[in-house]
Amino acid sequence: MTDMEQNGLTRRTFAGRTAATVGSMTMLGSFLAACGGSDSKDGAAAGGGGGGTMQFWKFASENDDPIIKGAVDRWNKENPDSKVDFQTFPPDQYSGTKLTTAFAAKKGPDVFWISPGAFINYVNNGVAEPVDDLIDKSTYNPASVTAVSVDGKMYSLPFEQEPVALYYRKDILEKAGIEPPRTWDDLRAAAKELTTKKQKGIVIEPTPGGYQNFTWYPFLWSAGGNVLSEDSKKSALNTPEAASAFQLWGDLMKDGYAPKKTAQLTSELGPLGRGEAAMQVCGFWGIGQMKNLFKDVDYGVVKIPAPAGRQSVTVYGGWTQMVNAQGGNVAKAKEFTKWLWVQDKEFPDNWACRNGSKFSPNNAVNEGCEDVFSKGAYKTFRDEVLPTAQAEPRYPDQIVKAIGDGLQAAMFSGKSGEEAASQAAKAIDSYLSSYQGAPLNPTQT
Amino acid sequence: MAATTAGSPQTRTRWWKTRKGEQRLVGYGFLLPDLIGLAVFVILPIAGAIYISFHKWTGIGVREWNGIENYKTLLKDEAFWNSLKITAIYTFSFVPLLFIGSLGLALLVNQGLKMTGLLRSAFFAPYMVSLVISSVIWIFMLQDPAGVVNVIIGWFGFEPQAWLGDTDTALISVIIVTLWQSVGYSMIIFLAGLQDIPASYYEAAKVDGASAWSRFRHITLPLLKPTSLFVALISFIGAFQLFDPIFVMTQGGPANATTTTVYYIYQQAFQFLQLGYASALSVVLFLIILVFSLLQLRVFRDDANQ
Amino acid sequence: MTTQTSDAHAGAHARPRVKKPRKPFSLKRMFRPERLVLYALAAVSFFILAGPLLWMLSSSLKSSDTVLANPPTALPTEWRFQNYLDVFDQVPFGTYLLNSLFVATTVTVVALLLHSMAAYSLARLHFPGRDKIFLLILCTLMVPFTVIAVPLFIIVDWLGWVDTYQGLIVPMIPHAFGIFLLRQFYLSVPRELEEAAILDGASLIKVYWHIILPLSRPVLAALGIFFFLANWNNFLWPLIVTQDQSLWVVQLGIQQFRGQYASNYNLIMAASTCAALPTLILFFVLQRRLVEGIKMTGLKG
Repeated sequence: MTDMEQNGLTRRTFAGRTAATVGSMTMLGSFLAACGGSDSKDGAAAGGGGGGTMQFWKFASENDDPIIKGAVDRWNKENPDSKVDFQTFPPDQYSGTKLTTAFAAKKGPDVFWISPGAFINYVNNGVAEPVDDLIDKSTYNPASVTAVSVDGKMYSLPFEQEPVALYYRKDILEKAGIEPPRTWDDLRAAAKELTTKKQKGIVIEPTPGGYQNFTWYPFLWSAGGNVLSEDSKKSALNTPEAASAFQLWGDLMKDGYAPKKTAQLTSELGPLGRGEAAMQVCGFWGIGQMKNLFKDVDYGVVKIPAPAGRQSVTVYGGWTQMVNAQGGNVAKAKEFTKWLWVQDKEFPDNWACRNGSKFSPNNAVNEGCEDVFSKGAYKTFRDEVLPTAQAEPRYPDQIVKAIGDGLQAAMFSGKSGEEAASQAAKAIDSYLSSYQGAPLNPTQT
Repeated sequence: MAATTAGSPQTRTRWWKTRKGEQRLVGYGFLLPDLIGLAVFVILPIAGAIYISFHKWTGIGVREWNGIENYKTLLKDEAFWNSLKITAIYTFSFVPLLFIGSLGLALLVNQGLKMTGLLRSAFFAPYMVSLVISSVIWIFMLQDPAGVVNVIIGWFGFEPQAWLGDTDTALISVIIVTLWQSVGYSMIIFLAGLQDIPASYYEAAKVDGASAWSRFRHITLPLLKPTSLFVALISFIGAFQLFDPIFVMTQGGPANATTTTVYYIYQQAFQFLQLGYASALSVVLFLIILVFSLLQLRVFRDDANQ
Repeated sequence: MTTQTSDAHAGAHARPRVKKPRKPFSLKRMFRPERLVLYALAAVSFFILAGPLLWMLSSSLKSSDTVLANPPTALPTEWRFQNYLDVFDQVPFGTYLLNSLFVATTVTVVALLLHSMAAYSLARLHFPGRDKIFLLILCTLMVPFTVIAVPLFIIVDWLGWVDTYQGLIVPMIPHAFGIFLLRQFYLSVPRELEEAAILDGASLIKVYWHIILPLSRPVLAALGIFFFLANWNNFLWPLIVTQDQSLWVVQLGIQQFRGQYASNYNLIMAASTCAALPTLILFFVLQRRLVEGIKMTGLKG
């Protein structure tokens, strides 16, 4: 363009301009230091939007949010001086973008839901307020409490256990004369047998991310493998057991028994419900989906298969409720959390079994839901799946990514289980070498 | 003002002075509102990002100065360089294809076909849907094995592909989706350029017996050069910042085959809570875009010299 | 569309110097081999570019269990117009639409005015540092938004604008693209027009207001559509800066139908169609002006 010439746009002027910009950085830096503020006293005053109102944030979920909103409204009526402002955000943007920017500007909510992948970071940075005094630990599921504890203190309140299992289509399996698989050999054979041109044998999560790892842990654990050593100091993936779990998922994908990409997360049972697949790995919440969307579909649930001669172990998620230690009104925020999950007569039952399908870590709530949990697929989950379930590990997202990269390598890059395991182990060890903070594996106290 | 015609050297100087004064006053004055906006809401945040890049900061905790440590780390960060490679492959495939595609469409709607208005609107329409939504639409269309795209390639005897679920085709799929989304936008800009080429040039060439191709080659292309370079520069800068479709469609997978640099930066900042490191990565990305943009601007300038 | 076609006919006679004068409709001409090829190309391009949007429309009328079906169905098995009612029923979608309209319109109008002033200054007036300022502005295009999101949010918070309309609007106004494009346009406006006015004693502000601004109406219309679309479809910044759902814009509203475990894709598609409709209408109405407008930016040779 001719005007460029007239303006004498040269590299030199560009370079000069850039240098000038960098020169003025120092000045701007002090401005940012002033307003970004790492002074915690400042932060405390600014946090939570001030006034008497507390912010309560979680990701949006259409089914659950109305009953939480209802409970919050009741709290607000009873506590006009410390009202709660309940806000939800798109799930895939909540944990990353929304929470991070808010906390970076010292504008974090007073009470919020935290994912297992983010939990340890928030604890390490002093954002999490201990919540031990909110509950009587003896009435809670010990594993749920341990999962959110560091040095014997609880830094977040668990409120649900949604274990993962294998859903299958009774009609399809019966027609093919196949029993629901209990061992890995059965699983491989069934997946192969049930794969046709229009139907996949099994659905496992193909897209990288926390959910993929979450649904893979049962296979790792059932094989006897672990992500980290007991003392959380180094990776434990360099074992034949772990390699076999990588190999299994890799094979299911490579052999074409599982879809390589699904339209949405496989936490949605659509592929099974519509008959596009014969089996699907999914969590407890799937029962509700089948009830709402695929009433007429005949399905069953079994434990996640284990290698022959081994016990099946599964996982339960995941989100917990954290109180912001830098918030404007920590005491009230804790009080609200206790009221919502422990004291209120209505909400916890509603949450667990009247409106949704979730086991509670609070024994009393599960007892109150006896009438629901003792029927059909609920019963299978309660009696067979839940007793073998461990809490989702609180590994930070770097480790989640390292494991995910290994899985992806086994599933899509043609790597063997052994190579995938050692790749993941290497990445984890490199991260751990510079990690400082709370132990990643919860320690029993 | 009347002194303009007087011609005495002294008054002439004063007249220029006044004009200069007004030019400066209005010049700065008109620039000021936008410049303040840019300074506060764009340049200051950029400066902030550069400042943060010299720190170790999780965003939720205390910020610690760590000098050029982040920059040292990124030199050895294979994943970062790999993401740059993927971004480069994407950009250097996407920009030429976008260029050819949008120029082709612009030529097409410039032929006086029936219903040109409808065609023009239809070609521009994908740009009107947000990238998030178009990504969702395409996830469906690219489903394996029975998505629409596989059905259509099946008519021509091709095997169904996994598209987004295969390391070989995932990036290609992303290129297809983003091309679909932005080809109409560039088409409009090309169309404007095309309509401005005097018809007499073509008529003269026709009289000389030039073929359609040679008319395109020797008239259309040279006269479109400034428009072309504008489209190239803007789409280049955009392509190097590819993020939304990756976030919605692939999360960087499978096996990191679509982890572009901005997606990698996003992961570092918002998932791994390494805001300092992510900022350092951004500074390097900015410098790379700057160098390539300068090269393109250089072409602008040389072109003008001819 | 009919107006377009009849317009074209009229144009053939009124403006004979148009490159390819549009001749009156003739079957013989239409079926000439090279025309047929062009029509075939147009049909294929139409199919590829508009097809996915038509599919979005079709999906918006499907039921929630068939929308994700694999293989997909081209048309809904049962037509559920109820989806559109649900969108407005389940979330305050009308509020979201109004918020988006208000935010996108305000940003567009203010940005057009400020950018045209800045561009005029950069293109036409002489003052020290002008070119360096322009280059600095151009550089800002090269930084992805993801990178500046956190510092920008800190600044907006510092101004006390979190969860306000000004927080949604003001930071989106400054943008180098518009300044760049308008500057190119002003460079190509013949100087004689202004110089005559200046000789008549008009001030520069008057020249800008009475000569330059009226001249740039078409290019402003074009840029206006680009700005409006960019802001209408903006997602990340509104997500970061708002908490109160009464301030949410339409792109955030669409995300409401995505859940943790399952999404209502039929409702997402219905909501997306509702969101795209205003922009589609805007384009249909303004498309002739859009083309005319860009023509004048001086990008051509």
